[in-house]
Amino acid sequence: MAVTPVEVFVAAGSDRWHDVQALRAHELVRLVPTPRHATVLLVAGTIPASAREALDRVHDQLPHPRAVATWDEIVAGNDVVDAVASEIVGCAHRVMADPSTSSPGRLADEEPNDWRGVGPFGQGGEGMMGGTPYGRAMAMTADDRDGLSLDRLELRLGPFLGQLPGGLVADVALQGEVIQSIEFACAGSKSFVTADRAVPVARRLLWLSHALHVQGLDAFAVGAARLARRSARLDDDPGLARDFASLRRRMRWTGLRSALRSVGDRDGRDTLARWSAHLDAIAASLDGADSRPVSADGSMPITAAELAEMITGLALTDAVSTIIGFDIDVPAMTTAPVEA
Amino acid sequence: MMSALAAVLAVTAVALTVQVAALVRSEWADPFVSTAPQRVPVLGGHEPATHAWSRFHVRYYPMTLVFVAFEMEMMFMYPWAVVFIEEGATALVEMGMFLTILGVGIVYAYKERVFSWQ
Amino acid sequence: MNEVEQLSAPLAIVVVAAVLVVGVYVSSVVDVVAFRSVAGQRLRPGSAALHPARVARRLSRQQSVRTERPDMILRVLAPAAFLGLAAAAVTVIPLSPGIVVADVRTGIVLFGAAQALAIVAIFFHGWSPNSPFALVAGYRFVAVALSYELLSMFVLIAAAIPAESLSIGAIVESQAGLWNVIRQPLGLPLFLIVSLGVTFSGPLDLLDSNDLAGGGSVEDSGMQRLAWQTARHAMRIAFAACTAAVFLGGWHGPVLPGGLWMALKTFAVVALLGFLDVFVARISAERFVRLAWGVLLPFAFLNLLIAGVGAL
Repeated sequence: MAVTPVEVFVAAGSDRWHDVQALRAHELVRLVPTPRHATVLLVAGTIPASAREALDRVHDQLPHPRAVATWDEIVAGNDVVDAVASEIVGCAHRVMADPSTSSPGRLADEEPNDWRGVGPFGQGGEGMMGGTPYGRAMAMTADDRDGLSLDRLELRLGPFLGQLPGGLVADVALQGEVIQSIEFACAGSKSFVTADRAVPVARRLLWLSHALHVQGLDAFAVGAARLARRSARLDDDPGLARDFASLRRRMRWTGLRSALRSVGDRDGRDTLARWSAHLDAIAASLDGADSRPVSADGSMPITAAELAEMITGLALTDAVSTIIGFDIDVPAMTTAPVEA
Repeated sequence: MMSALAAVLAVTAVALTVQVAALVRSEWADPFVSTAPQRVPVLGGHEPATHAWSRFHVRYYPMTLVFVAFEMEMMFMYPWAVVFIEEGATALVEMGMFLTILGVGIVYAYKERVFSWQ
Repeated sequence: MNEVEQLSAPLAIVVVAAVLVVGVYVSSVVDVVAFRSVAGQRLRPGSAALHPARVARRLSRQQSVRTERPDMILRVLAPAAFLGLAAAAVTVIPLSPGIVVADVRTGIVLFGAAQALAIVAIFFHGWSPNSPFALVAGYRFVAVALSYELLSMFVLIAAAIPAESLSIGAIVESQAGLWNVIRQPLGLPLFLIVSLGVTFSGPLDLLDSNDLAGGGSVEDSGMQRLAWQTARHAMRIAFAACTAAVFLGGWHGPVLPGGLWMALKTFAVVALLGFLDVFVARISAERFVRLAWGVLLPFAFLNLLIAGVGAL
């Protein structure tokens, strides 16, 4: 019986985040950018204790009827991705057939701030800005360009966002759409490991799949994910290089080059140049006699502080494109596994 | 004319009402109630510190002023289009002058970085 | 020009409802088929044909989650107003030589007004859930919207010049000899860009986009999401019908009846828009604003000049 693809939101730790992108190739499953669109929450990889509450919150944000699937608990035959997809579809059908089995909330049902009855109108604060009117504080002002002094939204972009690498936490201060300051949580003097190292071609193709999804090319992301699954099977697949070349040719027509040009410029290298470096590395690796990993020439390692400085002053769109353009490997979070 | 307007308004009103009814019904008849943790805005797992509503810095505000200028020009172009063929080449030349003056405004705005805000 | 009998209000409602219901369904199917064909998946036409019905049923049974402090009036009004404006836009478009719901003498003004108010509805959709991503998406979309709004108006005015009238029925009749796509070649590409913008698809998908966790739709689930998607498809139908009427000759065509030609042309435009939605990458808001004011607006002026010279 044909059904619509099940919508899944992925909450992935940094070690499994790339593998999860392979699900894009599956016809019965659709990865969605926000938990509100999803029926099933897929928990993958190692979630450290510090991100436990964030995971619970993301779980609670899914609308009922909802179900949870855990990647690591799925017993797989040959193909992990197929097994995960069938498990997800099974969960979804069970919970939609009987909505009363929907996964209950994990966090306590209490308001974040006590505001009822406080203040002259019972709205939780004094005057316009004080206290926590209707449950949250109001944003405070800060100096901005043009001599203005406008509100500054301070957000902690969490570990489980569809558009950022899994596990990346960033404290962002926005005025308007433009980032005034950004700080990555697992920063310090550590270097992000970027693509200037040897990684398997399957992993690079999975990066490509996610990056295409973020740039609005979901259909091409499916194609890249499919190539990744084929290359992960380790047989010598002669058609793979040819198919990748045809994917790359079709990508030229999508306007991606002009969308990425001069975004996130650093020392004359913009996001388009980084993408080209990744794509050249994939092509070289596929054309090689065997699938030997190749490092991407010309993309330099970058520290968290440098990345933050590069992104400051960009609008949110371009900031996300820039971050994704670096194939960032978020340092593995602490290894304490989540108890089931 | 009045009946045409009545038809337009009737159609709009019906479309609006159908949608409102569907949404209100789904709010009232929902078997599931949104719990407090469920209502937190999506930010990837953490809570927001403040309301999102704020004095948002709309960085393209100079562009909106240029837009208003062009809108006023558009108001004049509507009747101009209707009598264009009658009036002949003078109409073309006059509108050309009008647009050129506004075009100079756009060039100035470009130089003043009105259209870029990063 | 107005030999057409004015439809009474109840009949008008029936006609527009029929157009929108069929159109929204077909547009959703086109989306699915376009995605599958570009992604290289099997087309499975049977499942594609039933896809919108299944999605609607699933979404209607899903919970509509409320955020912490939404503006509930606007949350309900935004998709409703968007759909209402799409319906209003359809009323001024001639569907066949005999049927036009409201052939007002200022058809393109009403169409432009519906488009402009749609900007407000879209902004409210981003504003109402009180969520940071939705708010940023709404505000950045308004920048894009104001830029393509001008293009739309210039292009429609250029099409009105040979017709000596602002009514879309008259514009269709003025294309009896030659379609506007040939007389004013720049008009169609520009209007397609406008259509992509007003339905926030393809390169101008700056509202509900993946890079902001779903953008304006970040907090939408269940009925709310279904309502917004329906309104978006309805707007796409309205703009596709307008493109067909204003640039592709409307109901003119050799053998088949006029209404069928109109339907075929509208379907062709919907298919093109659906394909562009899937195939073209998103461009950043600021880049589009610079492009629109620096390059596309001069093209619109050029189009106006061509139209003016051609009409004399």
